[in-house]
Amino acid sequence: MVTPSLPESWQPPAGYSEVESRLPGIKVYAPIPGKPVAQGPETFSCPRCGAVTAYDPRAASVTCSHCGYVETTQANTPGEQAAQSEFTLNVLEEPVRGWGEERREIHCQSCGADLSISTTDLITTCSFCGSNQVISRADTQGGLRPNFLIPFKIDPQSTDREIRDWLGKGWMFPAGLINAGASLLLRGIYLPFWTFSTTIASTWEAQVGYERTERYYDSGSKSWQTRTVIDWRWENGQVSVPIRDMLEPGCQNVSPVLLWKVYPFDLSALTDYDPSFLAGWQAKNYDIPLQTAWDSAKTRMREMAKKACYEDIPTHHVRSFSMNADFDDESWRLILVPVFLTAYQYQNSTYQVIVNGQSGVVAGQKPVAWWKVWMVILALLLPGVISSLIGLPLLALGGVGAILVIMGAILFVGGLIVSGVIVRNAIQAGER
Amino acid sequence: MMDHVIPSTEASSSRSHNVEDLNLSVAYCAHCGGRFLTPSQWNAPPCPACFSSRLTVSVDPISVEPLELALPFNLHPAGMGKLFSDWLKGVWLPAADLTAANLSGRLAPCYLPMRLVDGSVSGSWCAQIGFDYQVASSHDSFQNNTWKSQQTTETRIRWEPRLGLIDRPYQNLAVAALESHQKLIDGLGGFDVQNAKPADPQVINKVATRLPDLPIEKSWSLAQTAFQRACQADCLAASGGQHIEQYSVQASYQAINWTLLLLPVYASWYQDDHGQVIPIWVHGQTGQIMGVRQASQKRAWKWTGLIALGSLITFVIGLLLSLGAAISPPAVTVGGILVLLAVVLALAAPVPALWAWQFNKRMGER
Repeated sequence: MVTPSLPESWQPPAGYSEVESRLPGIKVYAPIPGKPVAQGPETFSCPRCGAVTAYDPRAASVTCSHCGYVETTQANTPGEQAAQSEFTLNVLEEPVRGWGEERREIHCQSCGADLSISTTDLITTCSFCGSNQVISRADTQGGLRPNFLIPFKIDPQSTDREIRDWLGKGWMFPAGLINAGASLLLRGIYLPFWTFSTTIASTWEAQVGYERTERYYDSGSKSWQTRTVIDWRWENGQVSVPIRDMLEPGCQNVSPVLLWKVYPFDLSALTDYDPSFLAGWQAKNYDIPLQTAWDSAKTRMREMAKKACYEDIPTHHVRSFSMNADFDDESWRLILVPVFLTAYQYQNSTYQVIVNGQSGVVAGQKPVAWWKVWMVILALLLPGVISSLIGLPLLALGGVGAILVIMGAILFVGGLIVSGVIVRNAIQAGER
Repeated sequence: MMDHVIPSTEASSSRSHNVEDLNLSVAYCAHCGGRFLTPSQWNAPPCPACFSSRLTVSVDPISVEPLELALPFNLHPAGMGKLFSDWLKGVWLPAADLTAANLSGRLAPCYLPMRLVDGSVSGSWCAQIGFDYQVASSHDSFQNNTWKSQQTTETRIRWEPRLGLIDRPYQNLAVAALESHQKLIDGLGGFDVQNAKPADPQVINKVATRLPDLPIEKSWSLAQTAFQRACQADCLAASGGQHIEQYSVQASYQAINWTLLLLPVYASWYQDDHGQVIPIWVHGQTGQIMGVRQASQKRAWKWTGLIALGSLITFVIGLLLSLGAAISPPAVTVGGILVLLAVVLALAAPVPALWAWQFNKRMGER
């Protein structure tokens, strides 16, 4: 083998660096990865006055509240076209880790939540449960770094008012709730979400029944009658179900029921992850791993495929149904979505409130004043009962009594139906 | 790559044989234009390339490259009867002259030329390199109101650009020396050039050796392709990928050295229906046969005519028997059967002619 004498004048193009070559006499250059894995932590301070800066949703920039300095955040907004990752077997072996900025982690000893906060953030309360039993520690920066996020659009001040309005709304809740919300400490927080996309190629097979009217001789009535019979036959079909960006929560500290209530998030606002968006805001690292979230999403996806297969069947008479679902082109993203979280105490219980940081939709847990519910139900049923009780002795007099009894029965049944709806709503409102 | 094992150029050059040293003369075929080195004592042998003419000794001085390396003949003509018998099994009505005995009786050993080139490549390259990676997927099935999930893995290719520099020596890259080289290799299969040995004058003096019809200048463009192919394989290996596409190299070539390698083949022939000579080639090491097997259209027409005549005779007899029903009623049955048989024979009559035509067409397309 001769000693390589490579031309010295040759230079690789910009953006390329030398990588390992497995053969002597050959040099190999590859594009430099877009985002270096070991990116140093960034600190956010005002270049003019040195004060701490934070991301301001109104200005869509990092601003200094002290001197008014504004630094525009430059990040692409690819929206729903944002790049997705595949389920490679080594996905968890070489991830891009960390937040890309220096942060602290707080751990709530009450609910167990871990929260990533800015180094300058003096936080003593847990955003998930409102407990003040929090300890601060260095952020371990473990796990995958989010690829994209939806920046905050809602102003925290207007959110505060909307939460108070929401707390005062509704007759079935305690009157003192509005006072409990007076001391709410509202925190904007980025929650981790997984998005999943795939196409499910489904094939189904089932016995499908078709209705047919036939005439028959009824020996009892000695006449010809008609009846409907069902002819069963085996059929099969194929359905392709494309699923785009199914959201799956990445943390378990927020009630899934509450999260569904503040949906949807507009993914067209998805922006490349940049640490400056997190300046002055809290962020939650995911604690539901990719595989667990994917399994959960897959369960919902295959039910969607099953529904699509049923819709492919021309009648509603189906039996012995079976199907196959092949998942193709599966992909995922780890994104951060903006929410405002707070928690309040009422009669020694903690209740969460969540606000969609993009659309402003408010949802939360509220205690139900069940005595109010029962009083309303009583008021609904009472007229029917009284009317019937008056009508019964008057039955002896004839028509008037009968009218009262019938009217009482109608009012009672109507009251029962409305009461059922009220109880169902009360149970849903009290769900946690 | 098939380099590094063959004796180096320098070693073989020292043992190369110039034509003047051997008792050989240059002869050419007036019909196909092929030029050969033949033993001087041979008197106008038939051309081993086309067998349509006899070779004429050239009186003009012709420069001939030194005969350096040769592959040995591993097969003996005596054992090739079975090879030809097997080769002819698929031909239903072969030409009268196309028999295993004729083909093996006419076998003539011959060397075909091929060039080996050594050199070193220096330059820059770029390509798209494909890296295999595995992704997890799943196949779910729903039966008896229960979902079952089966995990699967799929291999996909990630394409990434790579570029760089190359400075590597290459030895013994195969380059064609004949215009028909690729066609011959496609038909006969590859040669085990790793077993190449210095050409043996004892053998060369007993066989016809085909001379290159591609000058070295023309072979050079083929050599560049061979160098680039070798560089492409090396750049892929250096990058650690599994696939390569859009490869290009800007290179300079140094220390180029050519070696003539002789490939052993046997040549034979047969005549088709019209007396035209069809050459047949046999790989001298593996026994693979290359050539056109022709069915005899004349014999096929004869068979078609015979069957048609048989059909006509059967039909006439059947018809007569049917007419004779008035005399003997059972004759109608026999007559009917014969008419039916005549129809079947009439339908079968064109089969030999059609088969031969179709077979020859298929062979011609190859």
